[in-house]
Amino acid sequence: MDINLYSQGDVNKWVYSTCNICSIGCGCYIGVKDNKIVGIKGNEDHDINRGRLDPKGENQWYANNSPDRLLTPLIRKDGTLQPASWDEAMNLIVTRTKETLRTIGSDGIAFYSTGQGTLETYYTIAKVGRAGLRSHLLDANTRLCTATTEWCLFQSFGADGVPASFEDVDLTDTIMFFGHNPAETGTVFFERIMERKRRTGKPYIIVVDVRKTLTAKEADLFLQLKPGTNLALLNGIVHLLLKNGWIDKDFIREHTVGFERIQWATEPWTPSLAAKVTGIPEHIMEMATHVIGTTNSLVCTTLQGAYQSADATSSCVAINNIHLIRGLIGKPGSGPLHMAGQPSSSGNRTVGGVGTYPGNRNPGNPKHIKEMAELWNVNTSDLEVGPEKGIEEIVHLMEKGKVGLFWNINTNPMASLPNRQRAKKAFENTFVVVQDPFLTETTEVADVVLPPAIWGEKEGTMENADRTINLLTKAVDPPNGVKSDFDILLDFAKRMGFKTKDGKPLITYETPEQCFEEWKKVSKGRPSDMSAATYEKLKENNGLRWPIDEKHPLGTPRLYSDFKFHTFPDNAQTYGKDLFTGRPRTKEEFESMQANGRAILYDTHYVPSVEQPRQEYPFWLTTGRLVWHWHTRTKTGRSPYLQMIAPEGYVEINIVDAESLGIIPGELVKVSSPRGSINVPARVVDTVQPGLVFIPFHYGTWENNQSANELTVDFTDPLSKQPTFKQCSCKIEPVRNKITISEKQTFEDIAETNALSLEELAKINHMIPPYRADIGDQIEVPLSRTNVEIPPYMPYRNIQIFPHFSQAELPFKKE
Amino acid sequence: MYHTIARTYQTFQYLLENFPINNNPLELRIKPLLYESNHVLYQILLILHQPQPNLHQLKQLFSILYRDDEALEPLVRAWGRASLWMEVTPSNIVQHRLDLYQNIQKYLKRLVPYIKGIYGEEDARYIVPPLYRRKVGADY
Repeated sequence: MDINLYSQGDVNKWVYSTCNICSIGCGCYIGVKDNKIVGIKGNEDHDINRGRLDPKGENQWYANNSPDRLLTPLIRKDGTLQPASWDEAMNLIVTRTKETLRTIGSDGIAFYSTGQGTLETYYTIAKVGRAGLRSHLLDANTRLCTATTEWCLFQSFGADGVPASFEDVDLTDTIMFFGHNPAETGTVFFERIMERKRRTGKPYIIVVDVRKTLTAKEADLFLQLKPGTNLALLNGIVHLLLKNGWIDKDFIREHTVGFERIQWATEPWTPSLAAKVTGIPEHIMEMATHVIGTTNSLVCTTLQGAYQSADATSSCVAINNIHLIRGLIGKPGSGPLHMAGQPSSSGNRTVGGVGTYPGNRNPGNPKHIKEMAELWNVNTSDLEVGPEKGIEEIVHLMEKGKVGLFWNINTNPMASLPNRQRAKKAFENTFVVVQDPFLTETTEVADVVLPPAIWGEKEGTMENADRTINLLTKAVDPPNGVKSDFDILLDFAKRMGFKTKDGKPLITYETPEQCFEEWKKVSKGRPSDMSAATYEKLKENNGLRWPIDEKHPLGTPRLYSDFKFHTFPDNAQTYGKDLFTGRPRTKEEFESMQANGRAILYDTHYVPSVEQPRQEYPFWLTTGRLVWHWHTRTKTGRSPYLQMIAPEGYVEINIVDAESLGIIPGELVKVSSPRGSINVPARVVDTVQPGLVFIPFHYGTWENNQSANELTVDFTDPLSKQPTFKQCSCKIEPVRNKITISEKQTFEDIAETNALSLEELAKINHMIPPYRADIGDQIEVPLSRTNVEIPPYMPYRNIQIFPHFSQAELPFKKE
Repeated sequence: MYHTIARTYQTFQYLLENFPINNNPLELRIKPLLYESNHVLYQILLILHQPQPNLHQLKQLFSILYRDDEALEPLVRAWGRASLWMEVTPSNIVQHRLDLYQNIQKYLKRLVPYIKGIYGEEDARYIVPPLYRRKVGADY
């Protein structure tokens, strides 16, 4: 139950819904009083969460009632955003759209949406964008989140859709969290696992991460590897699996192609080479391989530590390879579970708002294009061919003036894109529409702002990380002057006059449910078939996993239980790409692999991170999330509770590095990379390894200089085009005042005045006892110092408080 | 058409002769694409020398050529940024290579009308990716 609810008095009603924060897809009820959302509680009957909610989920409703919500469209006039009517705003967008179509063409219009919307909104983006505008520049912040999931699934299995589900997590003997920290990013999922672990001792938990995360602290085996070496580790593990014969030869022969490629690619990856590259001791790697090689069931999860790293898609394909060569897929308790970050990022892919055509249709296959044209009753030639472009490529087109209109829906790229100063210049060079309930860093570069409804104020469906389709119902009306994303798109389609080839309106549905009914027809016969689903059925069953069709009327807990994969050329969702270069394959090249229903094994080749530490920038920088905040805090920053717990950005630095730089906990430091610099307080911890620093990406307005993305690189994975947020170089310098000691001051005075202990002041100034400073000597003191402690969340955690800091290691401490 | 392909081939030859530039890991990915493009262009030139070119084979080669370039484009741009940030190569050399690569893209765009002429508008869509054949679009 939401801890805030008791302060609100009795509610009038509880409205069935689904949490709109992370990718777990928890069922919930929204508390309503006087047509206002006043709280939330977990749905005890929902299999996914059984009443649990994550702290961000519990506090998401504050945003709905926030006094700074936008209640009218805004148009930039004379350099400032000014209130406008919906007619003015929409007509301006339509005028600009038509002008772009005339002057640049269809691919002069780009949509950049979200992973937090409904399937119905995404499907409408697909229809408006692809059939209406005939653009193929449809992308979303899912590019930063789970594009790698999609591409690793295409490559190995021929289509999207995670093979395993949360049910398998409940059954498995072994789970490997690979670059995945669910203790902070999916707490309900992690609690579900830990509850079973405490009760039964299962599953055996392996964690692979560069940081000693809260998840790693609960692991049976923790592999702390060097940044950017995921694939080196996986190649080392596969080498050992093959060497020890821990493979299922029958499964490989009958259900896969390409085994010989794995053999030659991993042959050089002896434990000694893998240990040298990854920094993981050989015996630890051998222990991990022994567990993976002999377990009867295995679930491997991946998230941003895999997706936002070097060799992202190759690493996830290597995990698929492990499942395939062990024959641990499509069986209870087994299969890769490549996670999502957002509540419905996979849903955007499924219905074609991003990525391929709706229903897992291949944009390079003339038959699939023809099917879509028939379903939408448009000319085949209206639907663009070829793989999608990622946001980095769209930013490049914006820089070159080749995008005339960029429509940004419910995401904040000016805080979330890597190397954000480059992105800012590109946005300033383009007509930008921003759909957001609040003013954000991105509305600062917008020409038009449209205020949409938030969760609880609209209905629709979402797809979580394990293919579950959940229903959201409308608990309250949106504030006056606010429209749902879905209605905004329908309005745009009407104003644009989009037509079918018969001259009838392109979009005839008027409600999300009618849209869902149309989508069901589009999905029929495809991997993500939802033809047997209805809103009512989704609610009755608390969500169902696709495919939901005649054969599986109550959904499908795991894919590929018949070991038949979507790799027939006319069934595949793409023809794939070369795993090393990212070059799209032709149909003939795909056919020549002769997979034809079998899974595809690949040779995976390690390539080091593009940018690495060096003399000028001696540290690795990695970025990530906290348990207390979501994305750029547009919602969670409006919860007093969450904001109070974790109010500002910081950098985590290892004790050893802090010692050598003379940095004390909480003092302000400047972190610089070749892209820019930020000023944040330092947390001195043992959770990052020496040579690595960590900065949460949630923070940073244009004014307060704390955005991690001032520093990050905008290199992308060659297949998924997902940016490599997790590896770049940086340097750290304390930000200090210099005080010249006068005749009336002592060293002790300066320490006291600046709220420092003598030892801290001595450390800052690299002094050893006795701490003598003479008149005229210059003493450095921190420009500022902040309490950077963040409280723990989950009760079973063994740790009490951050930061970890060992005073005993100070060299001048007296016994 | 032959002239444009020959110029493209020459540019790839030059890039390959002066490759690798620095030891940036991106060059590991760029290199096979340059080699494949070079090889494909050579085969296209051979086919075009024949009195009756094999159009099916030519279609496959053009498809690969454009797909190579789709993969190359973001990698080459990233290589340019990385080289400057890592300060491993003088900026004038980096810019020179980026300019050469830009020329290749111009040649590939120039080839599009010829490809449409051979295979027709509809089939050409499956050979040449959208941004090379960008045209002023929908009639609203």
